[in-house]
Amino acid sequence: MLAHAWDFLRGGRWFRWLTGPIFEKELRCASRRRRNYVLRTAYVLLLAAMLGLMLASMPSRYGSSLYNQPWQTARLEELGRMLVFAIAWFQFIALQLAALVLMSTAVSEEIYRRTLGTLVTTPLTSLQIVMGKLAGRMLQLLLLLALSVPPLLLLRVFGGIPWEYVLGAVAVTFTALLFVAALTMFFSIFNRHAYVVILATLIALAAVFLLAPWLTGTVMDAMGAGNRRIMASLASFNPYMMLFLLTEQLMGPGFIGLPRMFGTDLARHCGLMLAASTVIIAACTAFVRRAARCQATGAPFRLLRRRGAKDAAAAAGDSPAHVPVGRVTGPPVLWREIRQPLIRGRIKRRLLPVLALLVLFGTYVSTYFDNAIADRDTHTAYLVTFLLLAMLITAITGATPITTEKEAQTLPLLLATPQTGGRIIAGKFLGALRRCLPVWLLMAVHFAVFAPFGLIAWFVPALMAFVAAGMMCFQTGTGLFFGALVKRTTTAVVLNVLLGLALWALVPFILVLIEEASGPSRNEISGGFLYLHPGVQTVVIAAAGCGEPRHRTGYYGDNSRNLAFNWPNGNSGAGASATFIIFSSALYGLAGLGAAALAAGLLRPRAP
Amino acid sequence: MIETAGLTKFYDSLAALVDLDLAIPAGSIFGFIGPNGAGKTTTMRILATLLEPTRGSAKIDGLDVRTQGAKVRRLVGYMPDVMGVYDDLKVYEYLDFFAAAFDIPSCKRPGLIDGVLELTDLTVKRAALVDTLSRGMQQRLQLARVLIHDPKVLILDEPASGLDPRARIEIRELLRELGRMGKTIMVSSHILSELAELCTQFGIIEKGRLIFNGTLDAIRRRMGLHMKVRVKVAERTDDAAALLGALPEVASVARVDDYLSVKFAEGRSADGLIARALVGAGLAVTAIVPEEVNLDEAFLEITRGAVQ
Repeated sequence: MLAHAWDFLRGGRWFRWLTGPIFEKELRCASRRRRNYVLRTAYVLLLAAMLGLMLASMPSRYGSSLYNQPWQTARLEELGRMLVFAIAWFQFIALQLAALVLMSTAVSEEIYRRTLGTLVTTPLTSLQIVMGKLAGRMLQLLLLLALSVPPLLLLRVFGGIPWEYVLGAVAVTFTALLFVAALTMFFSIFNRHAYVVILATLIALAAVFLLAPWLTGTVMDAMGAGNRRIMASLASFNPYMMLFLLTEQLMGPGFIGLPRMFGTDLARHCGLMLAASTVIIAACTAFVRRAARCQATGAPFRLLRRRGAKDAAAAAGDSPAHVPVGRVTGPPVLWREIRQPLIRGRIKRRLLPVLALLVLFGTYVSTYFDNAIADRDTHTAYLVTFLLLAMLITAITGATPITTEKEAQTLPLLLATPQTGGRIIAGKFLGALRRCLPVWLLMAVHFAVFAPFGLIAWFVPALMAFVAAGMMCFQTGTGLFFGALVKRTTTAVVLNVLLGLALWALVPFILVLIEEASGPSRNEISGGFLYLHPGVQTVVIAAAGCGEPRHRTGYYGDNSRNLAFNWPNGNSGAGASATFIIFSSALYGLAGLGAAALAAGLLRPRAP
Repeated sequence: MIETAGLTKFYDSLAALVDLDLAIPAGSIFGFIGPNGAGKTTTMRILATLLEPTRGSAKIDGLDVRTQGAKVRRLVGYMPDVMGVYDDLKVYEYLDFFAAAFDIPSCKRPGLIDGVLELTDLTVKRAALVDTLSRGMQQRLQLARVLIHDPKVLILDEPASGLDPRARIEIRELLRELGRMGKTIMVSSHILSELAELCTQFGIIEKGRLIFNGTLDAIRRRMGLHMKVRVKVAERTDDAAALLGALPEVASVARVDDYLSVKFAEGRSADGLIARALVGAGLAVTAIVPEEVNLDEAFLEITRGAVQ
């Protein structure tokens, strides 16, 4: 008996039993996918660039003291801790993003290509399908994780970096990665489009790791728990908080090593994350066969089984006679685009806005009890959150209209009509704007709630309208361009989101690092670039006009006529700032229209 | 109505179409036959203005597809080989959408839509969602779509693929009806026999080259298919085979079971020749039957060389 068990474990048979041939197939496919090599190269290059720039900024940061013998050891230790901190957070964030993208197609691709139904007609078990997919793709991610371990270990020669931190950071990253991968896979069972999977996972992660801790923290605070206790409790099931606490220890003043009790917290956190991942994997195993049956029979997938006359009628292809048939009015492409809802499904369409408003007002209540409702920073955080959410949705709605036509194989039909590329793109452009509008209106709800109480100045909605208009045009235009360029919706969405990340996260970050390396006073380039950054514009506008008037940056003294905006390179007057925001909005708008025009030109040459 | 001259299309280094010369007269039903990957879909996509040729020209009703694409699109109804449907539209809305896309005024659309729905026998499904229709019905809806703007030319890429026999017959009848209405129809298939009864003219394409263009009779003449007869004699079958094999008009004689399969040389007449020769030699002829034409065999023979 024992000999059999040992043989089972020793020969790797347990792994083959767990993953079946799916694992090998996943590896074989991965080795032929160019994007995996691109991903690895980009990861290493980004990591190397970040570390290189940080090292280059060393002399300007520490000046001559770095070469001063008495200071050298202490400074090197501090630098080593900074680099380790940067690597730890880089791998933590980058790998989760990579997991989102890699796992989003795990099952959805099988549904999209109609191969899942075939897969379940073989003797493969549901567990083998799920574990094979998970292990095959996790291996790609673990390779990336392994790439950043050598620099982490090497940096220990700088001194002052305990083993516990390096291992702790890797453990937190690994368990978070597994959780995100399992969650993404779970959503990929219900959706055939990878971008929907990514979006659903992001929303779920935000709810679990952002909203839930916030509300829990508020409740615990109201019950009189101390800050430290709240943080420690939340970190049990929050990898962001856990890594934050871990690095806080490392970067804190007078660091002498991690406290002994930290190991217990870390073990509890990792155990909980692994348990949660196991539960999600079990759920995947339970649902994957049902999803396959639905794909094979063409029936819609539902979490809860529901049978009724309505379904039978739909399955038979007979719509009720009383359901009105619409008539096409105006430009046909625009008509069809306007018909398409942002959220599919009647129940979801009614439920989600109500849920979103409930969550929003829940956070207002929480902020009120926290005595932060009149704070400038509270409203700044709200506006930035709304902006990021709306930009993400706009990047998606802009990138989907063309590729969904390509995937549905309806684009050739449309192109065979006298509709010109320009007319098609114009319809798609307006339709995409209309679909992303409700998300931008969340900001309007915020203004409507707080402006009557004098917590938001009149010019904030006006200027934010320009920022929003510029972003909507730009992201919709670039989305249509990517949609015309590529075949798959997910590729177009990922490219559009990556463009946003590159423009408004990577470029400013690199510019700041370059200027750090060049000297402390040379911040003209990044400062100038940041003027165009929608996030910076939002922060500047919110700081000038949100919260109690005495907290705003926008006023000198009590005279409201002396309104000023605090830009990265110094204060500017209201007129100049408003002109610049309108100008940058027009610039983004024109760029978006230009991208849309390019898309119109590409539509026929790149038709499938 | 449709003319191509030296039409060539390369996908990178792959020649999908090489110097295609076609002339399809108005009102004819042209069967475009070829194995998978022969270049049928590429030709049709070029004619539907979806692809630009690498070189050569293609004209529809005198309009160049490359330079006068917008005008060509109004003349052509194109049905691709894969069915693309908008899953969130109903049958009526789907047709209304394409009618609007062809700039048909709003007031004229209801009558036109009702007309094509009746023609394609889809009136009862006007309020059904498009993606709930069966494959056969979706094919008929596609036909309704291409007819909505009353085009002069229909370009149909394998309209009957994947359909059951009844649906195939229905589609064939519908196309025949459209042919009677004076439409010029270009229809592709990889099965010659499928189009034999429908088309007035055929083009056989292989590896991007047109290897045959003409009528069904011309195919038969080329393959000598209607020059094959089965002969049965009461006795001395071997003598009969030797006698017939020696005739200059006969290309070959093969013994199949208890009868002889006689193939005549190309261009030679078979009228009464066999009977005269056999009776003259004192053999009792019990049957002379023309061999059944097998178009699929003909297709295989025509395309065999290039495939190999």
